[in-house]
Amino acid sequence: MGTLNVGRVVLPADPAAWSDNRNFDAHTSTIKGYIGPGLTVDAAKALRYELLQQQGMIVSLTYTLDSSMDGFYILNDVKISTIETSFMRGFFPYEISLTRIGSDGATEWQSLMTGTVRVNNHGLILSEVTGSSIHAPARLHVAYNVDGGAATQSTRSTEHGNLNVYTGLGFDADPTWSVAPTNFYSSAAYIMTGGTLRAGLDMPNSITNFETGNRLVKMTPSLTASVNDGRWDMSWWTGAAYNGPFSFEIYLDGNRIPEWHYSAPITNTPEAVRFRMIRDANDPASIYRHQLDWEIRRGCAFVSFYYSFNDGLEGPTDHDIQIKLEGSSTAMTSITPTGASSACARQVADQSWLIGSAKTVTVPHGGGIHLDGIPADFFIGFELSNTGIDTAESMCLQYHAPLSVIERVVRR
Amino acid sequence: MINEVLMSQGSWEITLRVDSPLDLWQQLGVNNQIGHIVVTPQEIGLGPLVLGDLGMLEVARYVGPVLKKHIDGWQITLSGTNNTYWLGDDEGKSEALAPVVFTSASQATVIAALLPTSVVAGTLTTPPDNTHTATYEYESRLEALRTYHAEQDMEYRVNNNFTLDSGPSNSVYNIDTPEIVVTRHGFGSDANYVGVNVQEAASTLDASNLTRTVTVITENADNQLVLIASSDNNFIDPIDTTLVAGDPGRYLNPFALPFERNLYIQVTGNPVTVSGFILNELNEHTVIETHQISTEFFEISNGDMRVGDNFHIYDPPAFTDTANPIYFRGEYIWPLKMRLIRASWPLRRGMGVYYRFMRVLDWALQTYEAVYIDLTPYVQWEDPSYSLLTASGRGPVAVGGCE
Repeated sequence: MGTLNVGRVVLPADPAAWSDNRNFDAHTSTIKGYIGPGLTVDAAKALRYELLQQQGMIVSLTYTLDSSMDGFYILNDVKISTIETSFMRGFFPYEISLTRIGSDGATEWQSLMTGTVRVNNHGLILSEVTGSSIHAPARLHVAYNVDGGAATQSTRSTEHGNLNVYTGLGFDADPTWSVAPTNFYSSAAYIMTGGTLRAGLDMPNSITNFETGNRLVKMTPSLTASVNDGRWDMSWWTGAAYNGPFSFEIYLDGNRIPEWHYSAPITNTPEAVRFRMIRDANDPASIYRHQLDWEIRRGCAFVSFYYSFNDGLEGPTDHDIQIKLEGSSTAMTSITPTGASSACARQVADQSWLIGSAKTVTVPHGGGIHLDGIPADFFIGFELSNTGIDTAESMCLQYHAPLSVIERVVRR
Repeated sequence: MINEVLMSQGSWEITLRVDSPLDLWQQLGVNNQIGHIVVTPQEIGLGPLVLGDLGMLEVARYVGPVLKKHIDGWQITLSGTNNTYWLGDDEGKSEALAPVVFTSASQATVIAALLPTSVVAGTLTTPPDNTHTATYEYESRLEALRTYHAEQDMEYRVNNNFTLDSGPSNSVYNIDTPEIVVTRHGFGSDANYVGVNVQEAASTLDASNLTRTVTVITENADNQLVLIASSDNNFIDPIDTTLVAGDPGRYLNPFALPFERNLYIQVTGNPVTVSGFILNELNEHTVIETHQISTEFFEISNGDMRVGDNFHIYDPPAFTDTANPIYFRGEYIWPLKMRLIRASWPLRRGMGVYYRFMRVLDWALQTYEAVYIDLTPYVQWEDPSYSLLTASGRGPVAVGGCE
C-alpha cells in the first residue's frame, strides 16, 4: 500500500481513482479515495478536516507508488462524503480536484522579501543590520539564487536534518530556489493543536494543547493541573534531541499573567507560523485584555513575540513588563552586538537561552529582562554555538533585521 | 450606489423596488423642496421617532440632498450629491456671497462669513497662521472656502449634520493614526488595528506626461513672445550621488545624456503667482502613481475608515513603505500609508435608508419640523461588492493623493 501526501495531509492509502486532463489552459487532476485505511477513527476525522482546509492553497503532492505525478498543484476543490460508516470506522470518501503547476524541474519558488531595520532604542541603523536577516528556504532545496547579489550559506541542525540558511541578503532581495515536492514541508514551520498537524487556520481553541515550531525550536503551553498557567515552554534542537523545556512567564507591573484563556492561529505557512494567546478581561475582573502574539520562521533559532493589551488608552503607555524564566533569579549577561549603543538582550550563560528586545532592555533581580512601555516586542532565542549566525550577538542583529516573506511559485 | 469624493460633492443613486407604493413619487420632494437621503449602517426601525432628527443625523453613515427623481413605469430612482452641495457646486452656483474683505481675520471670522445659511460651523481647529487677508467677490462660497483652505493649507468636511469642520488635515481626518490595515492575506482582528481583506490591489506608475522643465511665456505689447519664467523638475535630476556602479541610471536619454523635455505654456498677462503656477504644471507633468484597491469590507464598524482618512495597505512589492513599520497580527510589516480619496459603495441589505424633509408646523410662524420617511422596505439592494478607490499622488510629492 502506498502513501498519498496532499500538502500537509498524509493519507496512508492508495487512491481509488486518479484521472488527468490536459488542454490548452491547464493540466487538471482528479483524485478519489478514502480517508481511513491505516488511521485511527480520530485521526481520520482530523485529516478529513485538514484536507478541506487546504482548498485554494498551492500544495505539494506526492505518491509513493507513482512518483511520476509528484509535483506542485493548486488544490481547487475538496469534497468529503461523511457516510454512516464514517463515524464508527473513520471511513471518509474524498474527491479532490487540482491544477498541476509542475514538478520541481518546471517550478521555482521565489521568496518575496520586505524588510528594514527594526525601530529600536539601541542605536542600530540600517547599515549595521543589513545582511543579518535569516532566510531559510525549504530543506534540501537547490538552485538558490539571489539575482545580482550573493548570500552566505550556513547549516543548522533541525529535527528533520540539516537545513541550509542564508544571510548576507539585502532587504530587497527576492531569491529564487527549487525543491523536490517530497521535501517541501521538511523543517517547515508548523502548528499542531490537539495533537493534529494543522494545514489551515480553522482549528478549535486549544489553549492547553498546542505546539508551534520549526523543527529547531518548539513552543507549547505550560500547564498546572491540566490548566494553562500563563507560562509557555520552549525547547531547542541541539543536534540530537530537544533541550528544555524552559518555562517563561510574563509580568505586567509586577503581576504575573496567571492564565491564558484563548488561542488563535494567525498565519500557517511552511515559511512562518504566527500564533496568538489571549487573556480575557473578565476572569478575574480586570479592565485589560491581554494578547501575546509570536512568530516562528523556518530556520530561525529565535521566536519573535509581541505583547499588548487594551487598557483603554490610545497608543503605548508606561508599564513595566518583565519576561523571565520561571523561578529564576540568575544574573544575566548583557549582549551588545557590534553597532549597538546598549544591550539588546540578556543571556543567562554561554550557549544558553537569551531574551532581547528592540526596546531598552533592563534587568530585574535576575532571570529575565524588564521592558518599559506597551506594546512590548521581545524575542527569546538559543545560542546554538559560539560561531557565525548561531551566536547571541548575531541573533540580536537578526532580530533587528526582520523580514516579511511571501513565497510564490514562479515560472523557471 | 454611493460615491464619495474627498472635499467634493460626489454622487449617489438609489433605486426603489418596482412594487414600492407610488405615492412615494409625490412625497419625495424635488418639485417642491430639497429633501435629503439619510443612510444608516443598520436599519433603525422606529429610529426617527426614538432618536429624533439630531440623533438620526449623528448615527447616519451618509446624508445628501435629493436632487433628482426619476420614474420609469413603476420604478423610482433618486439621485443627488452629499452635503457639500450646500456650499456650492463646480459650476459656480451657491448661496450668493456679498463682497467681503478680510484683514488679518481669524478662522472663526472667515468661516462664519463664508458659510451659507444651510451649513453651520462645526469643529474649527486653529491653523498655524490664524490670520487671513483677502477679498472675495463675485464668486461662489464653495470657491471662496476652497481658496481660503488652500491658502491656509487646511482641509474641511461637511458633516452629515450640516456642520463644517475645518483645520489642518490631521485635525479633520484621521491622518496620523490609521486604524485600518488592508492586506491580501492574513487579515483579521488585532489589538491596535482592524484588518481588511483586499480583492484587488493594483498599482500603476505612468511617465507618459513626464516633463523636465516648464516654461511660461506670454505675448507682449509688440506681439512678441517673451519668457516669464521657467523651472526645473528636480524629481528627475539625473545627478544622484547615491548611485553606485551597477545601478540603473536615473532618467537618461538613449545616449546616456540627461533627460530633456520642456513644456511651453503661453498665458495671457502674468499669472498672479508664477512660481506656484509652474509648480502646479510640473506636478501635473510628472510620474503619476495610481493605486486602485477593491475590498468587500468598506463599511467597517460604523465607518471607521472614512473618505479623507489614512489607512495602511500591505501587498508587496508595490504596496510597501519601509519607513512605516507596524506590528500587525504577530508580524512586523511595512505597509504603505495611503489616503482614501474616493470610495464607491453599494447599499447593502441591512442598512437603513430614510428620506428627510421639512414639514410645516405653522405656516404663519414659519416653523417647521424635520420628518423622516422610512424607505428601507422599498430599496432595491445592491450587490455587496465594494470598491475602494484612492486617487493618485503626483510623483513623489503627494498632492491630495496617496502619501
